[in-house]
Amino acid sequence: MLSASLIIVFIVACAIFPEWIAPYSPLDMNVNHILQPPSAAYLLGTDQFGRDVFTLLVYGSRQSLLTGIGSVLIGGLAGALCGLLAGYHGRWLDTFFMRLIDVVMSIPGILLALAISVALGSGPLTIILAISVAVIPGYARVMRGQVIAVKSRQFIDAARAIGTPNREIMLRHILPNCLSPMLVMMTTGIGFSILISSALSFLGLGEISEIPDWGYLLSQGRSYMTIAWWIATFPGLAITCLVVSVNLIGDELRNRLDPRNS
Amino acid sequence: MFMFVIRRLLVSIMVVLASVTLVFFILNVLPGNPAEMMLGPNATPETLQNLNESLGLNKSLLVQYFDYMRGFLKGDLGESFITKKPVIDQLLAQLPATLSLAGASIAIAVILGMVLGVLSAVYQNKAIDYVVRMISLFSISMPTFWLGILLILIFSVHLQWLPAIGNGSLRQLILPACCLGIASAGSLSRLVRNSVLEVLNEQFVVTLRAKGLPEKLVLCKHVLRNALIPTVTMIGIVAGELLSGAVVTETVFSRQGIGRVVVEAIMQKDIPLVQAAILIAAIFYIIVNLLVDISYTYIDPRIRSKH
Amino acid sequence: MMTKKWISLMTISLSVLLLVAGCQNGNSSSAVNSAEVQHKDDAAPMVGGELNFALSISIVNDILDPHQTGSPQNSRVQRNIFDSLIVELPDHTFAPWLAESWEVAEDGKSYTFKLRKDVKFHDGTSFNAEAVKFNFDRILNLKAPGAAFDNIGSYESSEVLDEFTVEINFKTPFAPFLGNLSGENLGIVSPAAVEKYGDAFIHNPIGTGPFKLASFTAGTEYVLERNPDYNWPPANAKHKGPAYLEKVIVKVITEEATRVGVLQSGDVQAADIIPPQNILSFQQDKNFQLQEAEPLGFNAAIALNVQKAPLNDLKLREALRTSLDLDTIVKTIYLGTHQRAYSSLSPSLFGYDASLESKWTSDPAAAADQLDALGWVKGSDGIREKGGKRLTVEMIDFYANREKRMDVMALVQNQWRQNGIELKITSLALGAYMERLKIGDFDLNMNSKYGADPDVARLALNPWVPNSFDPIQDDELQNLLRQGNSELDVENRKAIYSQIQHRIFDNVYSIPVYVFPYTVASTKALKDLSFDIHGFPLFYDAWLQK
Repeated sequence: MLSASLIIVFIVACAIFPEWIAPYSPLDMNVNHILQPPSAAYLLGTDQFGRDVFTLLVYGSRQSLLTGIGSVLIGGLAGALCGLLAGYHGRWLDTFFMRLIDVVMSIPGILLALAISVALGSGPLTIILAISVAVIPGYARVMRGQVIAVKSRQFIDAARAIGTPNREIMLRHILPNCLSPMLVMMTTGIGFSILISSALSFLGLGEISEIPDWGYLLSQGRSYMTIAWWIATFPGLAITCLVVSVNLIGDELRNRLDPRNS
Repeated sequence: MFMFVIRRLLVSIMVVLASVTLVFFILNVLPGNPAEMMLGPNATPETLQNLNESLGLNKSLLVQYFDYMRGFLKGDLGESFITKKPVIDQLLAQLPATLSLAGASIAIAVILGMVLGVLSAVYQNKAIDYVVRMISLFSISMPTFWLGILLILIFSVHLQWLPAIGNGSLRQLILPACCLGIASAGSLSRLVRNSVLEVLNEQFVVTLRAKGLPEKLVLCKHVLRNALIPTVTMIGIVAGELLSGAVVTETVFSRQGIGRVVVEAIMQKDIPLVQAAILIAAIFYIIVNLLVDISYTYIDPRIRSKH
Repeated sequence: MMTKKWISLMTISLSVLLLVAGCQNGNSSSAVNSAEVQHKDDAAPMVGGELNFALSISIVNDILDPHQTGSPQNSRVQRNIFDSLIVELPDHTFAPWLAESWEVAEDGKSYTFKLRKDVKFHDGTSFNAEAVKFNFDRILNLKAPGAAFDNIGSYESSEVLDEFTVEINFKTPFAPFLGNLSGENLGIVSPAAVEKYGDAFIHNPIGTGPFKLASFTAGTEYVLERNPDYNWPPANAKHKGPAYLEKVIVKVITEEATRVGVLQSGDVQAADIIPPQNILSFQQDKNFQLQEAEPLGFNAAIALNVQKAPLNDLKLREALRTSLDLDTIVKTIYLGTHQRAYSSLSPSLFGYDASLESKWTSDPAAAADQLDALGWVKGSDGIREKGGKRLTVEMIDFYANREKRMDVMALVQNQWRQNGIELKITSLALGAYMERLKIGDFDLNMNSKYGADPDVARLALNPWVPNSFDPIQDDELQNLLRQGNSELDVENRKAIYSQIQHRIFDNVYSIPVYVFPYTVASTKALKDLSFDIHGFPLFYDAWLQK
């Protein structure tokens, strides 16, 4: 838990103050030092342009974090709201939302994101938006499933029996009981979004900028795996570390938020 | 129950129509003229004009849409703009490959996910729990394409245990199915662990234990049954995302399949082909989710009573 | 210092290669240079076996009709299914194939071919003068003509003089004709099969070639089977009779790491377009060999939209070019495996003008002075400005780093930035890319074109999308291109193409970057894989040692 927090703090620090942490500039292409293995001068080696991989990771963290958090916030909140309303209200509202969700969900996520990013043109905002739309249904479904399960519990019937208003039941009794799977899902979701954006890079539609994000670095480094493993491995590990850390924190949050634990 | 299925089927048809409509309009926002991409650089303005007319691309979008839907309702999905072959033939030829990949990866995901999730919950906070949680965390945080390349490098190039490419045998299916299924297994095991833990803490389990029921029986009969709900929900979600994963997996392993075809079709704005692929994905998704919803009512009697 | 050494090394090795290619004299039809010189095996070639060949790029829409495509990857397969009337040798002379001899009329407007009499298509029908006439008329009348249409130029009509003599007539003299005729885009298809299959011929290719298409799996696999009746190879082939290999299974593996991986694991015996970072390791590996061919054509070049500000200013374009150190770029990205390009035309192409090689050197300082003089002055963030406008140019692309072109542009971006020029790189889907080309909404793009005749420059420089924007609009250049297209005198023609290359260079219409080497890595068991003058692989003489 402590190490996870430290990792997060470090990554966030990288995203905010990259120039204090990185030893070089991400624009430095030292063509006399391409494909150098990790060493004292280049902590994580250099890439095919002679850029310092560690520096690239430090600078790339900002875009990766933005993509991950941004799309989870937009997609997760929208999805949770749909799921909550649908699951609690039931009847026609449930049918309506669920069909809407079905419509979006029956279109495979990456294809939807791909179509949206092709339609809007590549750019960091487009990618976030495209991923958000693609992840909404997942959140909505899980939320709804959870709400239905919680709704059939006895304490809800009890609350209803004593005349608690719907909105209060929804917010005070159902929502807290649904938060844990949502939190778990949203934490995983940050990683998931970064993964989708790297898949878009893999398919050739990621954003190409002078300061590439982790997904792009990984995607570009993959063909060097056999002769310069460090180019792809470290961005891959960076993504993994980030996701693992956020997940651990999410688990901890879940434990604390769960009403039955308090 | 019968009425429930019938009603769901009717609704499903509406969903399919709506998805096809949505995709039609998204695709038409995409820039590019399919006729130009088809004809290439040497086309004269007249041939271009003729082709635009024969494809109906010179009509207004709404007219194009109604033309398309008219054919669609008659069961005619049209011909690919690019290859000029009926799209349905083109996709059905690809379907077995994608379905076998999808089936194999769901199987891997469910088996691995359930086993690891339950293990992890039962041995909560023991070594085995930590190990399982670490494995599942890593599996969900690895980009599919990277995992695929690593699998090829390790199992195909270095150990030479399994072939990296090919569409025929079961052996050729193992690596791509693992590549696609492992991430789902990871998220499933996390979900299963959480819900088993929740159930374990619930009143009725405590009561059952207090009544002296053997731990195994409690676990198998009551806890697992409840843990199935998120599992089944997850299968529904995974099924929806399989084609997405297949896009990447099929590219890395150079497999035949719908995923690869549809990406190319999006890039080339081959609308009938994309539409038909989306239709197949939608039908697949709807069938799986209908099964999911039906199975809810069997797994959890509390939900059955609501229907 | 390093650079000079490197250039001389390249020059020496190139001339050695050309010598070797020249001496081969019928052994191989192209400027093939095997890094590992192939052993002259005394053992006779073995018949039989299956060659699994990993192809790096998807066959566009699975089309295997030489007349309806222009994509090199399609050609690589088509070349082995379809034969041509004649074959072009590395010294740009021609030798018989399906035609035994030919004559050119004095006015250069008609060609008479005497055909072989023993040739059969895969479907059993006979090859004759009617078939040749059918092929040319077909190309002229196709709804969606591919490269073949460009290749017949001013073709007017064919006349069947007798069963095995055909006369081909042109409206105006068409200099590239014989060269084009040797290419697979003018390969001969079976008239009976075209009648039979109609639009479906593209997936049922029937030719006279050493291999026939047995089956294919859309997008992934193409099974070529030996044509047992084959006995009409080109004059420069190593043997007669059917091909040695029983089957060639072409597997499309676009993912670089996978393609290299399956070759190392033995899933395939050969793979093409090896990434530079793996070329060296295959060369050093005793279990593998690496072959290289120069696919003739218009070199990969950064094309400039000279109609749109700011690149409508020649002085600015010059400064952009002088800011670049292309030697370093090409050496860094391709790790010394690709030759740097100086001219638009590839070095072994007829008409290549070597004088361009010393025409300019990289000089960022001089470029900076020129930019200052033009009024582009560095702003606070290091990017130059003039009248409140930033010096920003945008490059559009849809290839997703094919041949590492995006990596090249990343280094270009870096070098330009140091001189205060900002480059934006936009990756688009094909549809969006074509749309923007069409309306001229771009500053730069990168292109290349295959073609064994310098007339390829005309095709490369004219707009890709019909009725669309021409970023150059130089009447003088168009005039020269037309002259080159119809000039029959070899020396005059050479002079015209020299002028064309200089004109492109002087006006900075495009900046040539690298000469693409077509590479095939294979296990040592594969022998005698050769290449035609276009750099397309020929499976006919190839055999597998057991």
